[in-house]
Amino acid sequence: MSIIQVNQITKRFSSAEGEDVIAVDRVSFDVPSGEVFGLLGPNGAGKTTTLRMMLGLLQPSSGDASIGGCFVATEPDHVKRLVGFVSTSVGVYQWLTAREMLLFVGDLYDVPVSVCRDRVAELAVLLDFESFIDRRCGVLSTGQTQRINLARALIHDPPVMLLDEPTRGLDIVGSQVIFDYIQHLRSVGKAVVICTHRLDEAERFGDRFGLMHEGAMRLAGTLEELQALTGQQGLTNIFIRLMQPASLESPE
Amino acid sequence: MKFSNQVLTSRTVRLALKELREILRDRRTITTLVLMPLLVYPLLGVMVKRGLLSSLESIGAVPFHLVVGSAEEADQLYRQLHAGEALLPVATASEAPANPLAELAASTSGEEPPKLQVYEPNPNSTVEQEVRSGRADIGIRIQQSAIEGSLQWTILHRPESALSVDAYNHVVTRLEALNEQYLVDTLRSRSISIHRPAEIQTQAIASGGRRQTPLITFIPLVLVLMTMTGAVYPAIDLTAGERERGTMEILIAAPVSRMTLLAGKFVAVLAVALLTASVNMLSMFLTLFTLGLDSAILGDDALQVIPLVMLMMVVFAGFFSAVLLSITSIARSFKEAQAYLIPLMLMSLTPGMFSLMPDLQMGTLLAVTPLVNIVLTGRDLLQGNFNLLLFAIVILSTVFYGILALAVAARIFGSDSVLYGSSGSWTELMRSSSEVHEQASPSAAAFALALVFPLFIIVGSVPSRLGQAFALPLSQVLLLNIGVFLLVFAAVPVVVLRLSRVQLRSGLMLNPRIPPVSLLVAVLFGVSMWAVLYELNLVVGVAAQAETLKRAMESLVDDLRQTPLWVKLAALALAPALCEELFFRGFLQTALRQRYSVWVSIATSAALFGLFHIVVRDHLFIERMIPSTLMGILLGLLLERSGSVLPGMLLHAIHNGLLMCVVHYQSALEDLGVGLEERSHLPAMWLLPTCGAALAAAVLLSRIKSSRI
Repeated sequence: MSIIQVNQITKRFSSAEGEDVIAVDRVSFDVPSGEVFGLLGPNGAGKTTTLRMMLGLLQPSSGDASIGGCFVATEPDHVKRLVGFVSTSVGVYQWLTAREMLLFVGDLYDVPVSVCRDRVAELAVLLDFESFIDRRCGVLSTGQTQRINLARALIHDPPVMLLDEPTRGLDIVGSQVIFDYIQHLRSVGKAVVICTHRLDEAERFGDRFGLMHEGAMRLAGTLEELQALTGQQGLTNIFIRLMQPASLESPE
Repeated sequence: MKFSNQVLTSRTVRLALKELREILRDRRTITTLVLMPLLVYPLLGVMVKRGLLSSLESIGAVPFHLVVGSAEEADQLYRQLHAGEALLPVATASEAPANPLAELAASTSGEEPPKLQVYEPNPNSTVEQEVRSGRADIGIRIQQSAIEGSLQWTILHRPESALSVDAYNHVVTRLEALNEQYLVDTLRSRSISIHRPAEIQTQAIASGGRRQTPLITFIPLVLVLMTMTGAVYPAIDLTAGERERGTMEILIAAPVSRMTLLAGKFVAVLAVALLTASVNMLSMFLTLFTLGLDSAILGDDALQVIPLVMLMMVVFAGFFSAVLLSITSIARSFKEAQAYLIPLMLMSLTPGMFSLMPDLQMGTLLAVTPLVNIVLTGRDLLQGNFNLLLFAIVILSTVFYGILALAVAARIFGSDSVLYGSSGSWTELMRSSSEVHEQASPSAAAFALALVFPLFIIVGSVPSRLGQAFALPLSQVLLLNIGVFLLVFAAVPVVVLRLSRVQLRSGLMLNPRIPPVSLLVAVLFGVSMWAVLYELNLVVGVAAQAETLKRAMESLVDDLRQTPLWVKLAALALAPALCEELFFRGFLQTALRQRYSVWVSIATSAALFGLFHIVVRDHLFIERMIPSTLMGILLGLLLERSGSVLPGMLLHAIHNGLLMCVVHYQSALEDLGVGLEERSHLPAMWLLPTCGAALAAAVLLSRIKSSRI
């Protein structure tokens, strides 16, 4: 059984005009351990909303998601322990040092202090932030902050990682750190879901892909499966084909 | 889940410490919150002192302006006044001015009482014109009298001017002293002994309370300002600031309940507010002390005021920390939070002003009005008026409002609309999720509790007031009381459950499928608990208190005997049994159970049950807390064991009903030789069967197979 199971998850908002807007429409997919799943689509396709519902940050209007056999709706705290969350919108505590911040987050997840200290040391080597680990976060550069945030998501060693637009606003060096990070996650057997609209990047790291458009999952599969279904080569071409009006029907 | 309960308190402390570390490392915080007051007050103090003195010169230090017709008259005036001055008793000479500001000026300036400035009018003006125009405070004309050796003094003054009246009195007291002395001397010289029909002696008595100075009533207002300003910055920083910096997601993604997060933030905000207010107060007291203004503003015993001020500071800071957190939680940015808080700060000043109204009497309604109640309590405490009942009501209601504010904050903090600003989701925030719940959440319970307590105080007093106003017989008052029970303890939880879309049957534990043995347990406890509680009361009860309780109840008990038994049973046994069980056990304990362990839930609801029972007919009986809480624990256990509120209702009804029967048939019982009036232990023939029944019930209770414990 896959560690991540998303089943018919739906999110409706009521807009300012009082109309119902369906941000995510009956999306389903599974991700087993050791696989990197790319949740792709243009801005506003509902990728981030899907991710937030999987973590329990947003309440789904209907449908459900389960992580490691636990449903987000009924056992939110248990699910949160199993998930690491990376997003460029997440900030750092300006007045804590990087080490203090990581220890604090470890404490939030009930990681014993001694275990947490060891893990901070390991992550500092892995993500190369030993040199500034005792500087306060407020004075760190964007790239340095990014590394601290990547470490923060791993401090409780979760089996599932959710990455929301991890390369947004990063330069080539910063993006490379992310690619290495994803490679590391795959090598240690984590189930990874990555939201991105950078299809070119997604091709480099994804094992399987889900293509979302206007809240619905239009296509899902490996690159080869998608190529076979659409007759197109790259993900970008596949997507452009998909967004054309009289396009392919959903594989279901 | 149990694990998270155990670490709840230490987790809260760790969260608070982390928040404090962040706030206190920010040097701007330290500057604005701590260093500013240390600099500002001394500066302000010096300026105020100078300003005060110069503005007070008109009252205290300025000489009286006297106009006289001629230089001879001036000469005459000086001589006579000087002679009169010497005759005045010392106390009168330095008589305290009626005006406290003048007193303040006198105490700070250390100058002599007013001197006279005597002058003659211009050639083209008259004495009368000078007085009328206000250039002179009084005018004096001295003429030869018809009687030999006597002078006619005409004193012109303006009665509407305080200064003129003061000057008038100044002159008249001295002239009268001269006259009196002349009379005494004349009588003595003719060897006539002086026996006045009425010898007057005056004695000044200090009022019962602390010596009041009008300025002490400013302290609650000052405290409102200080604790609020201290709490504003950290409250915004820890909620809206967290959202703005993007760290809110870290907290929301972590497996920590929002109430715990908010509790940690509350402790941090409270600590900063207390720190700020303490530094402010310290700086203010030191300034007052060094400038010698302390006794003028704080009264004679300034040192006694300090602990009271500290106590009030904690109450004020706690209240504002909770309320501000609930408001800043709504905001998505620093700016938005500030926009919300400015109206609140302005609104808070109005209740702050209430402390300046000396005639505003604290009553039960004001005692449950948020903020107004603590301001007025502060004022009354500082003035030495202390009423334990009102004080307890104020503190309890403030605690409930604080919990309510935190529960609201926990509900809002990190919710969809705040975290992601999804459009149009404000209504979503208010709307509970569309699915129907089994039980109410602890925040819903906090909400209900914050509603029930003031209702209990206000509505609870309505029947007896109506009874007094319309001279109703007790039976009608008691029937009205049933309405109060229904409204307070039954309607409120039902409405709250409806609003939060909880099924009434599960939300109130109205489960009809109960283990039959639990009914037996209820009956056995119902018939035996009175004896256990009676003996317990003998052990822990204080005789004096019991007397007060008895006296408070005496008139009631007499009336009660006249009341038909069915009314007593309906109003004092059935209604409280049904309604209180519904609220304290069915609703409250069940809601608490959603987050807390069995024992924490039982203990909390039982303690609250006890608290509601200490208010008896405008008196506070702390002793009643123990038996009521004990009863609450027992009823709570029965709820957990039986999985239903119904056996508890039965137990409660039998227990109360039995007591009502005792009251009703008291004389008959006394005839049988059973008297409970004496404070002695029960005879063995009563004690043994009841204790046996209680013991049997306890054994049966522990054997009920329950899925809940």
